[in-house]
Amino acid sequence: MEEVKDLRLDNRQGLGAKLEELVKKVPGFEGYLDRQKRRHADTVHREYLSKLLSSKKLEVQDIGGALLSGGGLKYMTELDSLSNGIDKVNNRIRSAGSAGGNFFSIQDIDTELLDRIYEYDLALLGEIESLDDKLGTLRSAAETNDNVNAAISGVKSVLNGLNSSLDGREKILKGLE
Amino acid sequence: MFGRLKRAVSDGVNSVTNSVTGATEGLIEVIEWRDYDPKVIVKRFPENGPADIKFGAQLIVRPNQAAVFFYQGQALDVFGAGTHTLETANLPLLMNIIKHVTGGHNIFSAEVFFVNQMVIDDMKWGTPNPIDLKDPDLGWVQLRAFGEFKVRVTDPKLFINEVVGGRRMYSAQEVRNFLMGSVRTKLNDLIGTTFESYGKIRSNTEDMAAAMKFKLREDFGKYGIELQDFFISDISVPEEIQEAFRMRAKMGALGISGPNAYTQFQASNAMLEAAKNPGTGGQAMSAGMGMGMGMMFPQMMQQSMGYPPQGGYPGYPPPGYPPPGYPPQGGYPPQGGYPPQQGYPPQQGQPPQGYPPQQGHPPQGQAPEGPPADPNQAKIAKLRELVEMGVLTQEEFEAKVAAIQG
Repeated sequence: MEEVKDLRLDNRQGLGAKLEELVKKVPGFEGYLDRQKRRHADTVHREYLSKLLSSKKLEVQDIGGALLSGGGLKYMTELDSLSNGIDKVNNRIRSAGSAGGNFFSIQDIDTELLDRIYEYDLALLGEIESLDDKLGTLRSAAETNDNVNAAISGVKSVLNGLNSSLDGREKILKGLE
Repeated sequence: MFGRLKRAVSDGVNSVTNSVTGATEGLIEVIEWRDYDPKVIVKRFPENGPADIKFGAQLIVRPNQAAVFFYQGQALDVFGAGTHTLETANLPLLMNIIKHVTGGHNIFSAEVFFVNQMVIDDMKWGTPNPIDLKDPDLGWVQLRAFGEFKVRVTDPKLFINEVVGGRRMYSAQEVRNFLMGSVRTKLNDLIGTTFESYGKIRSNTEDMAAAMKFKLREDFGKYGIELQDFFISDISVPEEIQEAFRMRAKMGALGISGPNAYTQFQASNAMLEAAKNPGTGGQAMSAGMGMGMGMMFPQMMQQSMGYPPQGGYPGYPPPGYPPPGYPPQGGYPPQGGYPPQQGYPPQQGQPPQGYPPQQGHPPQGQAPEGPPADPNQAKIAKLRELVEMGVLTQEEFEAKVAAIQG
């Protein structure tokens, strides 16, 4: 899969490489390229989180289908709200601000800020992975049609945690913390 | 090099704008869907089919778009949002093929399908044919429903391969038409398997809409489409059944219940209508009906509200009431029984034997015995009472009496 690597990260050949060598001689452009690479890394990370969350949503939908077949119509609205909650977190992650500064930024990258952002990103990953346990509980509850609401609440609490983490991340990027 | 990069190809006008001299005519160096339209879900670039694209060309994919590269009718690489330089590194599938075909030349002939991945909203759905439901109270009812839903293309490659094919454009309306069959089928299925009554449907519309999302997920997903929202604006039954619901609500509000509730309600309605239209419409026959109903009304009131007071009203009944010849001799209901002893109520929805009557109504042999000695006299008495109630004027009364006697 070597050739799958995106040229924006490993741009040592082709037209892009030549152009990069040329513009590196422009003052300040190298710093821009550095930020560009960090932005790209950030995007890749967020895309990964987004894919993880999408897979969790599919699980919720599977559980919803199973519950409906078993006569669990009364849980549909709550499960749908769970599915929408995952969508909301997913959309926030996909459109979250980048840690690499914007194109017009003249400042160097604040490494301390970046560290804090990466901590949040790691926490997000941990929280998304913790959804597995809660979804397992929900699946078991759906199979026995017992304590389904409590299991739904368990998943929702993780989603609330994810939203809080995203809020904190946004505040750092806006310079509010 | 920079001069060549300036040359852009706009799919919006489907033309090549060569603003720099010396550029190779016909080669594409910038690929972009500029004239974005939310009602267009897929747009092919170039519109007229494959064109020569240069290695190193720029592919600009906007947020919530995806670009699918097609080579010789086969969907290969997919690009998300961003600016991509088309090189061997990021077109792995396409380049592997091209290398074999062209021997590694720096031009390849391909086409790009841009896919709009925004949420497509305002997709109306409805049931052109009614859905049958066996309701415990209403029997078989025909339901009609309508609403809207929102979808998003989540797997552009699958969507193009399975739905769009080689079309140069695919609109939101076409997506809607494509999905409508699934919506109707699943709605039929959901109503048939999950709901026992129309009342339950009405009280669980939100759960039903959520359930539709779960039911439609796989149907849509196999085409690379995700259902984002599903709304049910209304589920209704035919007008005559709605009228029955309204009537039931009115009866409840009036405190009318029991096996004869409907008859009582109809009677009170007719009386109220007659009171609203003094001197019109009723004429002699309707006046008589109104009287009969009027006689039922006090009984209804007494049953439902403990009214009128014991001891009766002062001045009631009015003078001349009851009219001569009423009740009929032999009393009412007629001897011999009404309703008939046999065949009523009808078994399993079948009319009783002898019904409908062959010669008029009621059936011979079961008619009330002892009709008034002089039917005209009874009518006149009822009309007189209407005069006393203020329904008819004296002149109208005299005219009607003359008509009856003449």
